[in-house]
Amino acid sequence: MMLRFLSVSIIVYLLWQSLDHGRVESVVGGRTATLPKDLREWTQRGIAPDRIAVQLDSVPTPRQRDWLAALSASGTSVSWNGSLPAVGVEVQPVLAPSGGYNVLVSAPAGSQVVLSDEIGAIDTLRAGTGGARISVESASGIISVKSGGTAAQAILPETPPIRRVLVIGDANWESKFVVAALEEEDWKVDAQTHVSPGVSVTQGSINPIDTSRYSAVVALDRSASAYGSEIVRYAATGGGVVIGAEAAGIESLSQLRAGAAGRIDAPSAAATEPGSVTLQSLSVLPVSAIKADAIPLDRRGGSIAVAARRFNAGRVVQIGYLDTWRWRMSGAEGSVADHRKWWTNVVAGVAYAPSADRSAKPAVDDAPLARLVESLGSPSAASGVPLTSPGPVVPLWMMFALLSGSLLAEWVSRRTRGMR
Amino acid sequence: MVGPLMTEFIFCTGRYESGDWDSAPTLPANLIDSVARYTEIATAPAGVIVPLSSERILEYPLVYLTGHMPFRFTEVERKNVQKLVDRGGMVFIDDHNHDIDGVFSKTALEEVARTFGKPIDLPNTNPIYSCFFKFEDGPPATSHELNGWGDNLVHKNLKAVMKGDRIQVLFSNKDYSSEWNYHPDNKRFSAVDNTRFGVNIVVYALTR
Repeated sequence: MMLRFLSVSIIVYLLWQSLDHGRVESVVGGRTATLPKDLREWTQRGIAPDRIAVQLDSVPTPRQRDWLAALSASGTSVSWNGSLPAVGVEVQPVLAPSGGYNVLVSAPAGSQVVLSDEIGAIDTLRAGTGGARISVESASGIISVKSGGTAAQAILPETPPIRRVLVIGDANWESKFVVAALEEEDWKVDAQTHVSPGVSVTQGSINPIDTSRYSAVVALDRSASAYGSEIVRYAATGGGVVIGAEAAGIESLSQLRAGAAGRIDAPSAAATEPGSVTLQSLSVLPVSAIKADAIPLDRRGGSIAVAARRFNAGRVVQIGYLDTWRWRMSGAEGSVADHRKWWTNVVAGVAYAPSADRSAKPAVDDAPLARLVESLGSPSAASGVPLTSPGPVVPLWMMFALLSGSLLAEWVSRRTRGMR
Repeated sequence: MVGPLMTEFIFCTGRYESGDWDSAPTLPANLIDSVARYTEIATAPAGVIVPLSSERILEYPLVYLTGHMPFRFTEVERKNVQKLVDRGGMVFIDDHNHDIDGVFSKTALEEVARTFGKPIDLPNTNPIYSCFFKFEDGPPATSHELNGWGDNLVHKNLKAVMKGDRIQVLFSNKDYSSEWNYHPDNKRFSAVDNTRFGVNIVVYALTR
């Protein structure tokens, strides 16, 4: 009678367990260091833990993160906490003949960031309030950014084909030296330089202005007004447009420009001394009444010297600086290189780039913390869950053995009852 | 409405220490008149004279030099004109003697070779002969050449120091300094304006 009662009790208990009632909630905890072992153990248990709380001091690997997400998807409540630095990285190709990459890093302000590729370390820098940006002339394979124990990775993008640049301007020193600066940076330049009514000096062949031919169009002054509607159409289809200070007044370009042309701000006499001319000491026609969707890129005093905006699929940058050739000719040593670098950056910043095919790229962890939050949710407050294994729970095999033993004992008891 | 803001083209005559740099005093006004007459290039109504020894020369990417006397750069002058040319400027030197054996031609060519590199004969197909007015036979002859003065030659080519396909230094034995050295009002007496090649030099300098 006792054995029968025990057997029935065990069966009822197991039935009760199978209905998930009455079982003590199974809560487990883990740490970063023990996570690989813990994940294996939690997965191999007969009944998965009800709740997993992980204390993280560094971002788990993508495999560990996906494993936790799989446990979460199978019914286990997974929570995590820990103060992890939000590190992210994006690599953009520089759309210029010289190539290279712009690496944009998000990291906590003031933190040290180590940048490396598959070959080795590239640079170390300190993140500002807006993260960090670094130009890399060449790199190999995967760019990795590490800050505070968190590493983010990005695959180097392919550089799209660089096409020609069209410069339109009057015959003056600015036109000449803008063309020279771009050519010295290996851009293929077509130029339309207005000399007199009906006469222009043409470099290259001026074809229809479209994205199949030009990476960018530089409209330096009012001589570009003859091409206004073409330039607008070009920008709408993805073309990059640089609007010079004097071209900002062209009516047909008004829908492209970042703002109106303000009142001229001339430099002091001291700033024009030979050898002392810099970009900042040039005359400026500030970008005023800036459009709501435009972004100031450069300021002088309270004025906006350079601003940019998107126009449909294209990008537009409006320059307020006048006579940048003076910087090249009358600047300090290195001003020629600075001048051409500045112009190539301006053009590269808007240059047309066909959409890259991202489908074939392998996935990398470009923002590990964001991916963790995406997979497991935001960090929870410290839960107080003991980071130890749960208390002793009678394993299923033991209950089954007990039940089997009880039934066997009862059977033996029945068979031997008559022998007494 | 924004008016023209870019700096006007200013014709610059370079003053050097060794000789008679000011031997063609009315040439600048005459060329300025021609540039203004034939083109829409914003041009300052008066030229400037700038010492080659001053870094102010860098503000004028086209510099005109002429003279009759032996020609030498001082070290400071050499440094400044080298910098001007290295940064993309252009120097136009005209032999006012119209004489390849004259002292200006000999010494100036030596100085050009020493400072910028050996000049070559400029092909008459160079864009400087077609960038505005067309000169199918190359540099236009001057009346001094046709009259047999000086070296009694009609020079077929100008000389130039090139960087790639761009002229850095243009050297002439044609004596344009005499040919163009007259008051602009006197153009009305000419059937063909003989300063037209001067316009090409300015247009070339501003566009190449």
